Amino acid sequence: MSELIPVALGLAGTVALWLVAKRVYRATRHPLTNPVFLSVVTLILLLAGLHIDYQEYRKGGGLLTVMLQPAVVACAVPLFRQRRLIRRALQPVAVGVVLGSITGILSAAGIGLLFGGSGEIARSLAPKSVTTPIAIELSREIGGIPDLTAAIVICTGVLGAMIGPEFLRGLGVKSRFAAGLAVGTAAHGIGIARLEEEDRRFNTDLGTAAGVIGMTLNGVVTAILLPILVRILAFFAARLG
Amino acid sequence: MPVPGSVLGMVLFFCALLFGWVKLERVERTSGFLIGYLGLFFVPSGVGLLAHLDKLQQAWWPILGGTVLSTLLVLSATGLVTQGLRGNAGNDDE
Repeated sequence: MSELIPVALGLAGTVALWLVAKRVYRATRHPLTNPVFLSVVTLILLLAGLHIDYQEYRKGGGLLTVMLQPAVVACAVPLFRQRRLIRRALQPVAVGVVLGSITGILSAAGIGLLFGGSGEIARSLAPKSVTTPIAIELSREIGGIPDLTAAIVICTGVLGAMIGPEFLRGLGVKSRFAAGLAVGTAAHGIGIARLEEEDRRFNTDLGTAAGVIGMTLNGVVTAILLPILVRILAFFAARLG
Repeated sequence: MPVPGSVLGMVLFFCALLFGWVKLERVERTSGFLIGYLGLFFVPSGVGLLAHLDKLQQAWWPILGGTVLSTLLVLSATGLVTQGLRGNAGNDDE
């Protein structure tokens, strides 16, 4: 029985914090109050302050991770609702995501190297924009550190969710569809969570649907292109080989 | 090629909706609820960064630089190209 207490606390604590964070975000709409970011930072500080081991927290909090699977399956619904618009935009979507995938792989690995990272670090960075299970597998395949890739993927998702829509607006991307596609391509599921929050305000699901397409297509495209692109990059950057 | 079960499930669920095996009205509310909590389901993985801090610190600048700059580049590439290629078709989805 006593073993259930940390489980219940971890679970209930995470849910409660997230609900508060969501309210704070809706009141301020400031990137730094992004609900995922705010909850994660608060929890990390709480665990450190209360000297709770992460493994202990994971017993309860980790139960929420399981819910990711049905939530991703549920993403078929916005996709289905927006199927006509997506069908009309197939070519721009395909070109946009393929370019995003190539840009992501080459720039993550290339900038990693330019900033003095080792080949192993660069290879761990290369799959950073795709959803975690795919990224971990690809990292292993190309000789990266899968654990490091998983951490980088989460950071990428949080960053894309925090500033993606604002950054795109600043660039002049006004179309909700194009912006959603870009956030899904760059920041996978965490980005989609942000798109859903945005869509809710305008009573639509267009951005969410576009984000789901971006995440899914980028996963497929990156899985195909990554090994080839890393080999090409290694030809020009000896340190990667 | 690694295909996560959840992504495969989403594709199958989409097909089920497309072929009318599942009626949209019956799943709209539940799916909306689940997607509304999508962010929450990522929080424990985010807290998990705590366990990997040593790995991130071993190459702080390359990892930070690569992550931040590359994310901005991907957003720009996909966003600008998709909007540009769609031309006026994008005006209706404000």
